[in-house]
Amino acid sequence: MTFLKEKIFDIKTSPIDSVEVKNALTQVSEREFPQRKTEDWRYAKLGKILNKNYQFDANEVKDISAFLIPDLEADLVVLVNGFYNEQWSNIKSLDGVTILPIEKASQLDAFKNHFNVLAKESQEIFTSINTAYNQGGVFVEVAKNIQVERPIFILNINAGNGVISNARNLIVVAQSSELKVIQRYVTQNGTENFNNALTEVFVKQNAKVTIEKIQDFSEFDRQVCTEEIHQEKDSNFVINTFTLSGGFVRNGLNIKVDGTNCYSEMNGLFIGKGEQFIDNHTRIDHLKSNCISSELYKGILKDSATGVFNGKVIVHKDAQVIEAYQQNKNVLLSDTATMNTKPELEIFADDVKCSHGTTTGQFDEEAIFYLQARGISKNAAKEMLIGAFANEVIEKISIDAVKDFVLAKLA
Amino acid sequence: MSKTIINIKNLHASVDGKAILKGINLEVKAGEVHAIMGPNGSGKSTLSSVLAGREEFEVTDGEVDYLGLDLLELEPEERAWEGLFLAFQYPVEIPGVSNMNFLKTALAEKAKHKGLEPVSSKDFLKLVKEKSQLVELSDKLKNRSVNEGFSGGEKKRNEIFQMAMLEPKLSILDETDSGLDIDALRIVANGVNTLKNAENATIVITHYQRLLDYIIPDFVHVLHDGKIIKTGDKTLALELEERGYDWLVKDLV
Amino acid sequence: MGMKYTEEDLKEELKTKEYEFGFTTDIESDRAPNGINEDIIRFISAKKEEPEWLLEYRLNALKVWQKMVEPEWAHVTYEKPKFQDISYYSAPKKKKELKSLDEVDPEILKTMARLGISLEEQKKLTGVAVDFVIDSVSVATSFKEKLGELGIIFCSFSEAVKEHPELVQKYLGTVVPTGDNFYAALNSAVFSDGSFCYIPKGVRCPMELSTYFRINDSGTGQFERTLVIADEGSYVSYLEGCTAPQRDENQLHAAVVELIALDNAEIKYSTVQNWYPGDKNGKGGVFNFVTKRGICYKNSKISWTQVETGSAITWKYPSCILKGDNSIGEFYSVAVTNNYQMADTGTKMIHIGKNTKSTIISKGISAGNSHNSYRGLVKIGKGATNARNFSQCDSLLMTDRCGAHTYPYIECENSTAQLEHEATTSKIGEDQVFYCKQRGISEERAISLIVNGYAKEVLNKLPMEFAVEAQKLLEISLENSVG
Repeated sequence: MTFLKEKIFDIKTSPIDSVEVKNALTQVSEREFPQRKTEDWRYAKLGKILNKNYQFDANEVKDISAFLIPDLEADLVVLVNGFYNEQWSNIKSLDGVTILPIEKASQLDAFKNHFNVLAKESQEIFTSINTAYNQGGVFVEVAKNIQVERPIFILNINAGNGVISNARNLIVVAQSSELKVIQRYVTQNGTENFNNALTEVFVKQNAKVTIEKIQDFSEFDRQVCTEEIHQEKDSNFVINTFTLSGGFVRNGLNIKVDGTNCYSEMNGLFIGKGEQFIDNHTRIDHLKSNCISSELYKGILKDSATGVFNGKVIVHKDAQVIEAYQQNKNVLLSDTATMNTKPELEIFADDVKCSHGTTTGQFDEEAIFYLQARGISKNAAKEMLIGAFANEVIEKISIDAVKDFVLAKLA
Repeated sequence: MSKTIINIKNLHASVDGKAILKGINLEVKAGEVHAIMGPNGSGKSTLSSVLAGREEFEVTDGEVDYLGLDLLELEPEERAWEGLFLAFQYPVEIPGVSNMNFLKTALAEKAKHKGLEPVSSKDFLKLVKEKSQLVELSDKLKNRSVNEGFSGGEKKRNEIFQMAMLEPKLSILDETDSGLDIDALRIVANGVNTLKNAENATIVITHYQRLLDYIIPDFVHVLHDGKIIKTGDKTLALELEERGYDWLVKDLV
Repeated sequence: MGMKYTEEDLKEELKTKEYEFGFTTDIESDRAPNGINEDIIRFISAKKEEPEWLLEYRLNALKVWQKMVEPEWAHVTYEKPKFQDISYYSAPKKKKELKSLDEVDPEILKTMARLGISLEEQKKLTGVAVDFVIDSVSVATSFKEKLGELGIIFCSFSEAVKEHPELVQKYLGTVVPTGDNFYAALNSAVFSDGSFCYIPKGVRCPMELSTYFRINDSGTGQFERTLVIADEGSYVSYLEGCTAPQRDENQLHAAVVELIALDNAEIKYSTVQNWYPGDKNGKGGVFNFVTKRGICYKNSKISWTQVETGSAITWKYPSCILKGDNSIGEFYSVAVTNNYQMADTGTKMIHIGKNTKSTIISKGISAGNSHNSYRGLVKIGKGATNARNFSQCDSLLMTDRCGAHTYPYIECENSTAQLEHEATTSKIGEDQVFYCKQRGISEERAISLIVNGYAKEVLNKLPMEFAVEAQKLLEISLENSVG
């Protein structure tokens, strides 16, 4: 038995008042951590995450200015080690928009109707741990017919040494409303923290939700980060994931397209260096007809980094007239970097147009030579090509300040 | 008096429950060229689809007599065997199936159902050579997969080449002029004119008068909202070119 | 090409020749009791008069197999075979002799006729007594004479064990190790017979070697073992399978095929598989769990071409280990599933040497209620500098009740590699079918044209005679499949 499995029961359970927490506790005791042979975890070396005695800690953060995104006008929610931090959070109240620490939302209908509805379908032990042992998180509800202009910026900070945090967020955007969310994950200091965040998002009929997600934990921190999305008919959901740093990062993004005429888009850019491990698992379930989904993930791997992309597109029986496109492109910049790719199509309907493509390689030597011949050093030429490669995903960001921020991070 | 090729009476058709054709009457005799013109959405392409037997279109009323046969009772391939040819507005690409193999199969199936011997390879090649000159189709295109990688003009020329090979009694050209430059248009029209004789007939469906400079119609019909609202000779086409369709529609009200 | 030896040549030859060899003699006590254990293995080995080392090989495999569990990762569901209810040894069975073709299932005859199989062959394949038999023993012998002059060995596996034990011992299990997977281990313990082929250095085998003609074809049974060795600088094209429909009563087939291409050698291995797929309701049919793998040494090439329309369950991944620098692996596959068939097929390309190249073209066609999956691995090892792979996996769906799935794994540990994978899944184009119909081509013909066009890239890789039969097979397999 792994150390985490033994010690997990010492951690304080979730402050959320819900029967789901109790059920999840049972699940944690029944479920096992993934093994090397567990198909969905086959490239992940979980050993170093699991054999660690984590603490449960609400550390203080003295200054957050370093973690803000310049020029971003947004409502700010700060989560430190998974705890909702009232001191630093800064929310302008707007009609029809509710932003609360999740444990304070437990009596609201939107909470009762949605909390854990998606997550409880998951077979992952990390999901059960999050539900059972979260320290809270944020609850966001947008009422009908509201186009929220100000995005919500959820800033997740790891502070301390060997701290486990399980932030739990719930976002419900009602009919014909619009919301943009920025999620950033950063390390203040310390090392070997384990962040196991989970966000459930409900996109109701004709609603539109966009998430810009930026992960830049230190190379000593670990993360399992899960998003569970549910789309109703005529809705639109876009998520852009930028994994810029992190010792071990596992992203699980699951979208259930449960209505007709939906649009879903998933984009990702991940950059691994040193010994970093970055694993992107995405899954989209097309349950209803006449929908379009599009996915583009790009990976850049340097040094001895390892990247994983596993994208599943499942078109269920009776989901007809589906167009689903998936692209994964990777470059390896070092002889010791590794990329494992597994794009999957599972099609149970017949009137579909689905495709996936993936390439793994290095930059075109000809292009580099061309640039060199024009007087650009080889390194500068490579940087230029990296920039061009990454730009296709960065261009997808819907908020200029965030786009500039990611660009600056890469420079 | 030349014989009637097709006689359409009170044809009504709908797609997904929406009525598109609302009572078409049209008689086409051997040796004639009929042009059907009309604004977008008037039902022009629906008419050609219904005549060729596309399943999505439901005939809700009316009848179509084709060479003494009840056309609407026939499967699409049976209509083809009886000499009905549709030159598609958007010819389909069929990867991996060579143009030659495709045509040979088409001819063989027709022969089979007419109780005839299939054409020999030698005669087939002779026929191909002769007919492809008509539309200036290169050997390269003939041996490629059906319409795959063809330019818009090449696709339309290929349609007329197939028409020449299959020697139809009634040819329906569905917006054959769309996307053609002037040279391609001339080649296509020349092909159609050469194939025209006293025994067959042609229906030209078009949005513009341009094609009718090259293929001279005996009759011009204006289709509006699923009905033929005016019939005239080739001068009607010129008038439409000049004045548009609105004046006709106004007259209706 | 002028030297190609055809079936027609052979018939001519046999007509003018004395019938020299007669039938194989019956073996006493020709069936082992059901079940699998050490005694049974010893019994099989003794029956086949095998040397001690081969018995040891089998016994070791049994031990390995007993520790393994039947894999469940493939996208197939079936009732697992009861391994203790199978007889693991039965001598080549003589088919019940029928007096005339009237006694044969008319369905089978109809299909055979459509495949263009001659009346004589129809009789042979269905076990009807005929005056003139293309007897496989004689056939094999005729071939052998021609091949013998070139030093080519092409014989049954048992014969190779007796005549060329050094070659068998040197290469057996070197590409597919005993413990490779559950079915390979089972095969290693109980394999019945199979084919052996050795092409000496520098020899280009002048004819397609075909198991179609090979000795006792009908009796090679459930656990076939094939070993093909192409020595340095040699070339061979090997055809496996028989396009005739056969109602095989063995439900479980677990074959192992090992190919060895030594430096500068080339092996082309083509399969057309049309085993009984079960009936329209999914009853019966063969379970085909086969392990096929080749190893390429320097500058060598292995090319797999697979056309599969048969079997109820197919589980098969013909693979290449590209060990030598500059070696090439190719995989071309068409898999058709109809009714309740399930196929989980694909390939593995393991790049170890420098400048190694692989190409994967997979075309799946699913009809009826069937499921068709592509599962592939492209692995670029650390030392595989400048490796190249191109993969294309397309799926065509014929009904709304079938499924098509694509599970490619791409693992890259070398930055100089260039890997490209593309996959598409789409419905058979209704507009294509209508276009054909408008030109007077009936729906069935139209579908066959379109499907053959879709599979053309792969069919083109088959030897000519095979390609024609394969095309017809696709047609027959997809009859009444659109809905």
